[in-house]
This record gives sequence, structure tokens and C-alpha cells, in this order.
Amino acid sequence: MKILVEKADEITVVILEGELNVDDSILLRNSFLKVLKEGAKEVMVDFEKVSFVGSAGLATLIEMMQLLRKAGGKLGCCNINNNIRGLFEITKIHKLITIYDNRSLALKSF
Amino acid sequence: MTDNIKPIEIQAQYFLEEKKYDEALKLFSQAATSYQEIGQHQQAAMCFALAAGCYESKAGSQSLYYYASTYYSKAAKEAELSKDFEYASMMYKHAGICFERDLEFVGFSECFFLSKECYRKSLVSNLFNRIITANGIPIWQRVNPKDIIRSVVLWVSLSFSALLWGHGERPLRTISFGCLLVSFSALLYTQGLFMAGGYIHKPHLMESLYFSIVTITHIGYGDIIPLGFNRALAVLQEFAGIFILPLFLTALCRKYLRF
Repeated sequence: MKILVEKADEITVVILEGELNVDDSILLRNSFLKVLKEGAKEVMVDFEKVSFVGSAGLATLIEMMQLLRKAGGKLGCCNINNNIRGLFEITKIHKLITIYDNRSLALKSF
Repeated sequence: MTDNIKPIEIQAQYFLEEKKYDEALKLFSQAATSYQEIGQHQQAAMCFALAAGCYESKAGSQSLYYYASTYYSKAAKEAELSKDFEYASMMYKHAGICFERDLEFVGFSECFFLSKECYRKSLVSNLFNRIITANGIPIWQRVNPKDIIRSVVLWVSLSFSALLWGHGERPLRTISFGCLLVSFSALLYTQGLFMAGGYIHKPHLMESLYFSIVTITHIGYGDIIPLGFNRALAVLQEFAGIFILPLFLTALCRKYLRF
């Protein structure tokens, strides 16, 4: 999996590419902790190029959301395809993490 | 080990996309059990939640909510084991909703109680687990005082609710609390003074117990008058009694009128 971190004003955008599985989740967690250490409060995860999210990926997203909330920040997700959105809804993660249709809308309303 | 589970998850998600819920839930359940065996409780929780979701999607008019709630409960237990109490609370809540849809009120009651308890634990965990590590380097997360106050207030009220009536699901707790209050107050009354039949005396235990019961139930015959410290205690006990009896009746009705 490729992980790219960009800054858009006050929001940190984490762009993912590939599959989000067990090993990739560890990579994502480490990247996220690096971002958190740098003092990021608002983090947006872009799923446009993500083809698969496993249970480990879902668990990592919840963990990221909780860590950010403890730090007084928030986590959002955007560009999620219908299959992954279905997973979010079944596991009720959509009640914990705000989901936006696309990145520009997300950055406007975050 | 997780390499063996990955293809199962991929296949399960494929079945889910195709709306083949029977096949999907079997595979998610299999993946969850495998994660459980290797101690990956967070992943197990997710897979159990996905299996529960398959049952829920499949349920419709059929009576399958019971199975969905069973899987949500399993997901909640796994989330609890991984110390993710917030997610556990949410899973118990959904298990409760599914139990209620299936008219299984004993399960609903239990899940509602556990959901509140997990939420209470999550408040404590959010307060204290603020040090996280990134590649072995600790990061201290800044604390927002407003969040701390909110968490503490919520935790205190939920703890009191749990102790007093088990969040409305344990009427016996209210009786136990009432009995404890009566006994404790009776012991304290023996240290003060009463006036009965025109003379002031230090009461013995049985007289104190009688007065304690008469006060908490608001009968108030007026044959015994508390004096000094006992008067203040009687007021406090009477005030507690205002809440205990209605709470007991509410919890009792809430629990038993569902059947």
C-alpha cells in the first residue's frame, strides 16, 4: 500500500492507494502516529484509490479516530466506493467517523 | 497466520457485494474465529460485526434478528477484550436493538446494561490512556479540560446509576441499596438521640431500625422524634427515600412488563 500525506490548510489529508490489510494497517498506523506527533488535529483519509479494506483496516480506522478525539481532533473519510461504504455501514463505523462524498466537499465542511 | 485469513475475508467481502449473505456470514464467522484463536480481538470484533450485519441484512421479514444479535454480542465481547470499550458499547447497543426486534427481551435487557457499562469503562479509558507510542517514542496527548470535566461528570452519574438501579435493568440493586441505607442509617441513629413518650434517650438498635424504615418509606408515625444529629440524618434519609421507591418501581415495571 502507498500512503501519501498532504496538507490542505489546517487539515492533514492521508491519501491511501492499494489494499488496506493487516500489514498495510501497521503502515497506516505508523504514518498516522507520525502525523499526530506533528500536532495534526483534523485528519482526512482519502479512499479514492483503495480497492479493499480488511478487518484490520477497519480496526485501525477506529483506533485512529479514538486517538484523534482524545487529542481534541477529528477524523473524516472521503471518496469511499460503495463496497467499502457498505462495510462501514455494516460495522457501524459510519456512526463514529464522518464520511464525505469527495475531497473538496470534505475540505469545505470539515 | 493472518495470511491464511486474508483470502477468507476477501471471499467473504465478494459474497457480501453479491448479496450472498449466507456464504458471506459463514466466511466472516470463520475469519472471526481464526482471529479469536490468535488473539487478534479487534479484527475478530470487526468480523463478528460483519457476520451480524449479514444476518441483519438477510433478516427482513424473517426472524433472524436473534442470530444477528448473537453475533453483535460476540463482536462486543471481542472489542471488550481488545479494550475498545466504545465500539463494544455500540455493538451491545445494536445487539440489544436486534434482540428487541426479535421480541427477546431478556437479551435486550442484558445488552442494554452491558452497553452502558462499556460506555462507562470507555470514559475511564479515555481519561487515563493518553500516552501512546509511535515506534517506541511516547506521545503525550494534550488534554482538553472541558472533555475531562464532561467525562468525569458522565462517569459519576453512570456509576451512580449502575449502583442504584443497574441502569434501569436491575431492580434488585435498588432493594439492596435501600436495605443498605436503612441498616447504615439505623447504626448511625444509635449514636444520636431520640425523643419518645416525652423523654429523651439514646436508642437501641431495634428502635433505630424501626425508625429508619418508617422514615425511608415516608410513613412517619411521629411516635419517635429525632434530635440533633439524628434530625439531620433523618432528613437526608427521607430525601434518599423520595428517589429509591420510584426507581425501584420503574425498574421493576421496565423489566417485567415486557414479558
